[in-house]
Amino acid sequence: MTAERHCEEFLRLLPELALGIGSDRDRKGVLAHVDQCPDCRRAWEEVSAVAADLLLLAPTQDPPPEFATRVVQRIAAEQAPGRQEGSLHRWRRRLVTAPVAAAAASVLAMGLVGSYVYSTTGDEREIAARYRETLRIADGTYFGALALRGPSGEQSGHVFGYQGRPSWVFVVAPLQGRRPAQLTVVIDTRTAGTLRLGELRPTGDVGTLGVTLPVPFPDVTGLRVVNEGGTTVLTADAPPPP
Amino acid sequence: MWSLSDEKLLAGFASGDPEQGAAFVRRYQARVYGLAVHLLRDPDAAEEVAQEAFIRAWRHAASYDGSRGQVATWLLTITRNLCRDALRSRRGDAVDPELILALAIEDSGPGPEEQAVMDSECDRVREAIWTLPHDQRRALVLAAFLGRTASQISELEGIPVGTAKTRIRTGMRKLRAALEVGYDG
Repeated sequence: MTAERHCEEFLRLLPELALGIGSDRDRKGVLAHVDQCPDCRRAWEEVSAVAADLLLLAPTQDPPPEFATRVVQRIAAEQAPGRQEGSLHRWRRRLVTAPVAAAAASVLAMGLVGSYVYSTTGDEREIAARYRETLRIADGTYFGALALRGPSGEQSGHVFGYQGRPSWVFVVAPLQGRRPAQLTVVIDTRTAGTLRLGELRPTGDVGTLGVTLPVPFPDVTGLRVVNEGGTTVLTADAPPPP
Repeated sequence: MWSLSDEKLLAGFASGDPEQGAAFVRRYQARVYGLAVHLLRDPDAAEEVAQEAFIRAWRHAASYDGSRGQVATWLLTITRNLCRDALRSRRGDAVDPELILALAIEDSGPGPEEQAVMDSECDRVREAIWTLPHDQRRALVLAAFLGRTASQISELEGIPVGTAKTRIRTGMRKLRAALEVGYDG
């Protein structure tokens, strides 16, 4: 297949990918291609801009009164050294409930979960009991999952974290045409600056990394996946302190 | 505060300054909440999603790239993706795309603080999408707002998958042309 034919094939996929409805496989192939083809990269950026502009058609509607105040208060709470109970309660409802493939810690060796579930219904007491049992296994005080997101906020991978003995994180991120060694996981900490945890290792279509944390969990303010140039490609939110 | 550019206001928001943060939220809250409430059709869920969209924008402000689009579209993309996540955990149909289009025409636009820039941008996109045939408009709204894939659109509309893909691709090409973007795929 000639280079032009390659470009034609990829250009046809751009509209669906820009609208966010393409397959992961197509997305991976296109992103790898546009990294190397300036013309296709320019086309990708233009099509993405058009897809984003479509959202401007969304009807506007004023939110309830004091909406802006509530947002600012939530941000202030995240910036504070301790978390407000309201946001911690909201976090506790996000439980991990599906089996995971591998892990470095004994908790994952028990066959614990791999997908993110946000539940506003269901038996809260049963969920809370399961959560307490999960933590008890390794003297834990926190267990949760965070989405990894690209610059547009679209989820692209996830992170599991456990505060206990030991504390650990397990990162899963799509490789999108990159070699795993090109992607490094780093954490930002309150007391030790930015620490490198390690490079993603290939596991099928994704890269993974499971490591024990070198600092206490409450010290972690953020987790990022960076490329060889040090640019952040994916960001996870900071977990609430236990 | 209203004379600050979107990018400068975003920078102020990212710094955690409460006054600039509140100004940033007020500038975009009608758009963000409007998108959420029309997709989710649940005011409480929409407020939660809208708040989360601003929180995520604050967390990821450093990764915003002005060369790739406006602050508004970046923020709306975050909102749209959060709505899609919320809709995946729900059963039942999402909003009719015709409603989105109809409201887009009737919408009087954002508040005065956005008016100078946003009205022209919204009007431009609104005029452009109405140059498309109905089936292509509908396919683009189903995809862009509701995250329907070509396969899902083909089932919904009772058409072959190839036809659904053609409507999406042709619709996007015509929309690009109408918006006078240079790419010609």
